[in-house]
Amino acid sequence: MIDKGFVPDYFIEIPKKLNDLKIQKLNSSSGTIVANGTDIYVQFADQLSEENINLIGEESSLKGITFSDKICTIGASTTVTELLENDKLQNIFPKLNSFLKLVSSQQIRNMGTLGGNFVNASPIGDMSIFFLALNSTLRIKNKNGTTREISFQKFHQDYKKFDLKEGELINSVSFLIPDKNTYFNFEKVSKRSYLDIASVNTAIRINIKNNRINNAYFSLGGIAAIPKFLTKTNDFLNGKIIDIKTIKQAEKILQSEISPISDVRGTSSYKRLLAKQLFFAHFIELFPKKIKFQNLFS
Amino acid sequence: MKNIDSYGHLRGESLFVDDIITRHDTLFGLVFDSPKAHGKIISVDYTKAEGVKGVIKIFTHKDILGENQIGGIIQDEPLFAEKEVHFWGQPIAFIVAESESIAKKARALINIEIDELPVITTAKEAKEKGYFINAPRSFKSGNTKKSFTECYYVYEGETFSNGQEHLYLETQGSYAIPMENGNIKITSSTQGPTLVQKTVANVLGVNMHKIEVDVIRLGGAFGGKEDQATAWAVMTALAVQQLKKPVKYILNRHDDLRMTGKRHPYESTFKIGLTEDLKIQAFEVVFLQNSGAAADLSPAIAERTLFHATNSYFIPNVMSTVYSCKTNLPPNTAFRGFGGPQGMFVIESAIAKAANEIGVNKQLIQEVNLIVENDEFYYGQIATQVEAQKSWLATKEEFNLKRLEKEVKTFNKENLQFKKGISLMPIAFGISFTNTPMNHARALIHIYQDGSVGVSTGAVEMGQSVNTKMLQVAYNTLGISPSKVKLETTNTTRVANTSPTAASATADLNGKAVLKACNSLIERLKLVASKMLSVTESEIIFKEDLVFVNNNKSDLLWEEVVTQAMLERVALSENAHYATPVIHFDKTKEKGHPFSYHVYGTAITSVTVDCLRGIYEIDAVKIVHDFGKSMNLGIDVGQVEGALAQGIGWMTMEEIVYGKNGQLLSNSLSSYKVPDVFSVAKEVDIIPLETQGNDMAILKSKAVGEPPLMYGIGTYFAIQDAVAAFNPNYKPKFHSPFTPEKVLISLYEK
Ligand SMILES: Cc1cc2nc3c(=O)[nH]c(=O)nc-3n(C[C@H](O)[C@H](O)[C@H](O)COP(=O)(O)OP(=O)(O)OC[C@H]3O[C@@H](n4cnc5c(N)ncnc54)[C@H](O)[C@@H]3O)c2cc1C
Repeated sequence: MIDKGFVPDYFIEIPKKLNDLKIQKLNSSSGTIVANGTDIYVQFADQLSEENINLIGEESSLKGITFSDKICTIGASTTVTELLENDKLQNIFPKLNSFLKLVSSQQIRNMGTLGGNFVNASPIGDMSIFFLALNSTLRIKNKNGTTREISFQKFHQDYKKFDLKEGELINSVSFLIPDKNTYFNFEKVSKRSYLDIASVNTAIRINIKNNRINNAYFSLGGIAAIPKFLTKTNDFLNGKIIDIKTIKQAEKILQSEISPISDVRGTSSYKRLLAKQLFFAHFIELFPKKIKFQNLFS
Repeated sequence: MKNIDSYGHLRGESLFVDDIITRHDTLFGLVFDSPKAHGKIISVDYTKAEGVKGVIKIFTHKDILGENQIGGIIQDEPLFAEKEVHFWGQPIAFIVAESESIAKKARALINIEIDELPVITTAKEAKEKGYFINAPRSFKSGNTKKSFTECYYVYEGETFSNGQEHLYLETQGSYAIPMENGNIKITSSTQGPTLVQKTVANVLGVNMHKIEVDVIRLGGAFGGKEDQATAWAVMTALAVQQLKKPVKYILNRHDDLRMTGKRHPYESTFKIGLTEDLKIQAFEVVFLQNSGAAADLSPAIAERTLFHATNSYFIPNVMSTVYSCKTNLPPNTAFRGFGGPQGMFVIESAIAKAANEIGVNKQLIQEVNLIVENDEFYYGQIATQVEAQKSWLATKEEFNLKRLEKEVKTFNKENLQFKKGISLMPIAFGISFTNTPMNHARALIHIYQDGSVGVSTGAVEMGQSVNTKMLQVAYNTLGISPSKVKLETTNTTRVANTSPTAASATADLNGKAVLKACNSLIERLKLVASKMLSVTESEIIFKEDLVFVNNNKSDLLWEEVVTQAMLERVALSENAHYATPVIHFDKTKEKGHPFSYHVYGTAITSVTVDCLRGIYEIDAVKIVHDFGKSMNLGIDVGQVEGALAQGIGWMTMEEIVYGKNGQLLSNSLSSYKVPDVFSVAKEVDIIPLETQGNDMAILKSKAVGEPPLMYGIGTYFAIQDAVAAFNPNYKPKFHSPFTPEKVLISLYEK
């Protein structure tokens, strides 16, 4: 590349220069947690440049995607790109690529971590919505290395409030690997299709047994103070047959569970309409034979 | 020829304000701006901020030795607020410190107390309360009142088009350094070096000759640096005047978004009357321009809105009025198209409304009303060399509109969830500054004794490739290779009293001046060469770095002629002045011939709407564009593509949002979206229209900067077409941008 003049000569010296840098000793375990900083540095760059930070983005205990018999466990500092490039995950979620391409941009996907997405606690955090619908479990670790587990549904409590105590961090997230009777879909609508934050985003995981919904986990973002797990809607769906009537009824319940506000990403009535549309979209995408667009909208 | 900056840009070697090597004692500036949109300043406490180590001085209106005034057309804009603030983001003070981060810390420590006054954010509200920038203006032809009574169809409606953020990649900035004897040199990211020079002199209380403004290039401007680059340059110069040290100020993105004005939002009402065979007989329109808190360029922009109120249609009876409404937003300003797009959106909406009510295809109305040779534009200019119909018909034919329409129909029949829509958008855009006295330019050309050439003009390079075009004019006229020619920076000491680089007219004006200067030099060198070769001057031309005699190569080199000219003490420098002939406009009658020519073209836009999710994709935009005889098709096509993308953005996703309190809510790149590569059309086809070109254009190559932006308006109507195909109850609305939100709501409105 250098010989051919594509990049300047100094490129060859970059690794050495990086090595020679005397990195200031700002890293301390008591500092503010920074995974890869794509979120926190947008908000607090000036402040952080003078504070101690606790860089956890490269910490090996927080990285890695492992599979046991039925469970998939993903380290909190795993990036979106790492998910996207994982063969096994691609097998589990055949449309993983098209889902995750809707999340930020290549550059941010290369940096942005799951832990960062969960803890920035945006009501429209894409990874929060994704893993909520997987009915995931979070493993949380404190300073002494002791861990505890909580259901992800319980993690977000109120706007930007979540179940992390002083000195704790998210260690990993795990979920039951979907079997062949389990269906998963992710939807996101934003002003611009790519590299934009959702007006509403949503995911659903449905397990079918004997032609009925065995369990449904449906999450919705942008319609409440937190990334929302729709308990009532899910309860309603359990045990039902998938047909137009069920879905239309479920949608009514969904509306009772949400409380969107008007902001730059849309008016509350738009978000309600979008919640409905995307809820329907899940079923049109997952069960095209049973649920057809024309039957829902005519 | 490629853009001469492409190599430097690609390698990151091109210089912008923030790249020039700073003097070791440089200080850094930062504006403290109003945290409220309207109110009386009760007190500002700077003590804590001044106490921060490394803060040198905080400048306010009290430090101004000249006039606290930066208004151009109307002197209604202080550099620093004194007793009142009129918009959120209005500069109040300028902190100068040893570093930017110190200045930021200090800024956070300034305490301000404001007694809030009512805030007005919409034009309509301002009109109701009678708050205006200046008196309204009206253009008129025929008699609309009478004509409406004779029309078969008459419809009324209202429209809204939102503002638009310029989003130049390079934010605003300036670097000022003290020279000897109190002189100051400013490197500014401005489209208007002379305006900066003049305003700095006025605020500093010195004469213009004390101030030198240099512009290397801008990393984009789009009108946002025509007037609004000035304030920052003035502040840095003010600090230099008193501190005698260099001061640099580069705005960060958030400050830039918050403090600078944007494209004007317009709220408009129209009334359109047609005959039974769809000829538009009468059109009345009232434009409410949301001008913001000060005039800036609003009156001039309002004027161009009137000029383009009928787009490319001939309408015999027209009455148009524009009100520049004073609101508590940052002063809105020039943006590619300069009010023209806002005007065109309304006439296109009126036609769409009529078509919908009558139940005919919009195109039918568009087609039968296109302006033809010798028709009169309603402001009095006789249309000549009109390409409206020609481009319309060429577009339909070249791109097989019939087949496209059929495909759309079949697709819509076969699909329920997805619907396609299609629209045609003709444009006619007038070229010249509508303010006739601004249509002039100069070029200064030096032939150095080794035969190389330096070219200075008043044109500012801002990515539009004007320098490449200037270079083309110079080397072609001198008959030498491009590598012998250098484009100099734009500098007020070399080329003075310039008009800003704007109005799409810069290549024409400055190019003509370069042409004139080169021709004068060539005349002198011909005399020298003719003596050297013992032939007559008329036999000589310069070509391929050589002298040609009667079109035959001689072996006399360009350099040898230049050397001989030196020995003979022939002047090898030339300064030429060009002023556009013919144009005139009488503002007392609002009639005249304001434009040197018009640029025409037509675009077909097709889109697909996902009626489940309310999102859409632009399948294709196919354009036949009137380039005249393009002098550089690569560059010109690039301008069409870029302008189109910007027009599509304005019509689809770029949504400026202010809170009721006047705070900008779309205040970052995560909440304000411009089109990316995926959201512009998947296919863009641009075919140059076969024409003779126009002699008023440089080398018959027509201006290209602004006109194609208005092709983007077609996207609005293509989406509307698709929505209507899905929802028979949809009542067309004309409220841009057509965001996914509005699309989804329209799809399901009852
Ligand atoms: C241009 C751009 C586009 C973006 N687009 C999207 C998008 O489309 N969708 C989306 O959802 N987000 C988007 N984001 C937001 C952001 O990139 C993601 O939320 C990302 O996942 C954050 O990860 P990070 O590692 O960078 O977090 P950081 O910025 O490092 O951290 C974010 C917060 O989480 C805390 N934290 C991080 N890891 C842990 C942990 N293991 N335990 C406890 N606390 C922790 C930090 O203390 C901090 O408060 C975008 C950001 C940018 C800059």
